Amino acid sequence: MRGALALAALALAAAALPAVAGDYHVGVGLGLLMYVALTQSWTVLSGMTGYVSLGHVVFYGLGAYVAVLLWGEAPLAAIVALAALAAFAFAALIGLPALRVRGPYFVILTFGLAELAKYVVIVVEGWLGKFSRVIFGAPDIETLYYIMFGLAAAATLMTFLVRRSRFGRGLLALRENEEAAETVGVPTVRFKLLAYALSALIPGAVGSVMVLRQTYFEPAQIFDPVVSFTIVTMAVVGGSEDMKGPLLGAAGFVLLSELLWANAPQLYMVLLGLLLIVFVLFAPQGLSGLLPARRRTP
Amino acid sequence: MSALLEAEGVVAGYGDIEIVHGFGFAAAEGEVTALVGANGAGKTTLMRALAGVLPLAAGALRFAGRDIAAARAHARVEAGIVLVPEGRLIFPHMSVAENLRIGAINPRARRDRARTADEVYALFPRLAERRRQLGGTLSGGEQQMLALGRGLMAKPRLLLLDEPTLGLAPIMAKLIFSTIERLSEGGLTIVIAEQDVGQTLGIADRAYVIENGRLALAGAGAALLDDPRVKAAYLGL
Repeated sequence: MRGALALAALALAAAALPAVAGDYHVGVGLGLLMYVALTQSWTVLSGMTGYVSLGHVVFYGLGAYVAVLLWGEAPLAAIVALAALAAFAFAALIGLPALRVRGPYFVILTFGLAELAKYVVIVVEGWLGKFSRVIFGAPDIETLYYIMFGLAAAATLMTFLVRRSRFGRGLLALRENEEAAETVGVPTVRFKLLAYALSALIPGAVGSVMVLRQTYFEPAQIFDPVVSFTIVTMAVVGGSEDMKGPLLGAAGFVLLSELLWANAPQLYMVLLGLLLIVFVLFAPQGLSGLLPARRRTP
Repeated sequence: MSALLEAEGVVAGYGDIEIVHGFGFAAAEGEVTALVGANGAGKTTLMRALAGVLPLAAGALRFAGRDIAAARAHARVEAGIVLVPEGRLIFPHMSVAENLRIGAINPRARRDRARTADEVYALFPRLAERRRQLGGTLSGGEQQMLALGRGLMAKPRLLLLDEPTLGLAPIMAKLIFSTIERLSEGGLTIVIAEQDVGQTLGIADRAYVIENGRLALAGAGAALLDDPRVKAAYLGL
């Protein structure tokens, strides 16, 4: 109950931000909501199944590319929806072969896949004679902010619902022991694939919004592996065992980077690296795991 | 007695390594069928192939008259074939209650899961005492009870037990065997693969001896117990 109130207060504050803050702070808020949406989505796959994706930027980049190709041809809402569907479909397609490998192999595979996609887009853009694209007449930041707010809320709701469902319990079982999950009757192949596709859905939409914010598309910059790394870092720092983990991780991380960029830019990466090590070693459940938790009842 | 499960010419293995080379047997409804043999004979491979965790390389498999050779593991669980795997494979970071709950994840068992859980707790009062304890913190015997209970949560028509007493203290093994007898008296069809040949043949209606992935001998459990070849090879008499 207290959690629900805190969440409602947060949502209200986020919804009111554009009315009270200037463009700079709305921009920071947009970045924060983007990472809430991305990290929440990521936990549906990696938090729940233990298949750690180090290439989630591929869905973000794909969504951005869809948006660039369709901008001016379709209304904004349709573009965001199609970007999400494209990412979902792509994940469903590559998931079947990709999810056959586990552990470090899956991590490396997802990373490589994102890099591969980046270079494929670069080559395709080369054939088309485009090396970068500028977007004209992009929506204003407030519009984009509210879309992103909706995506972050949807991603948070999704992780909450998945955790409570039969599907979510099946995912947790296969994270613990995939063979045991199979023997008790969890349709492991189908569940993993659905988790992968669901974890890609909202990141696709997020990419389409962010490319409209940047009004500029350059594949190497959009398919930036740092986005993937940041998602993983936020999940580690915040925790990925419940829906508040990604909220704490994204908020802590974005605030910290704002402070550091302003005060000690040369120490930024050093401190982030240290932070990650400290959390991995001393608080593997993340910030969320440090909070006094309500006892889980079976 | 009609056969609930019929296997014919089952071939199974891992990659290029074939372990079971064409094994056939039948499990009659309501009976205990034992698969006995030395370590490495192919019992576990066969059990995994029956459960669908391992694909069949060749052979036929019928359950209640239906061809299930191509069915995936979860479809077989839904049909009523439930494996309690070797090594127990419980979920160590989940509580006893959560482990049992996952056992009832198939749609057929889910509706009755509260009542089935009560039955499991009645069968193993020890699990009821520890229902909030994490699976990984249980003793070996308790983990075996949990694995068995988790299997029962799926409402099996055919229970496959792979080495249910492996590594257990004799008193715990005895408890597991007596539980199996109770389940059988309740009408459950059971296939058990065990290295404790003496006790297993004692409770089995029918038994099959597997050697190097092939059928070596078959007969009534009590008859095999008196068979000189079985005595020499497995009972050390």
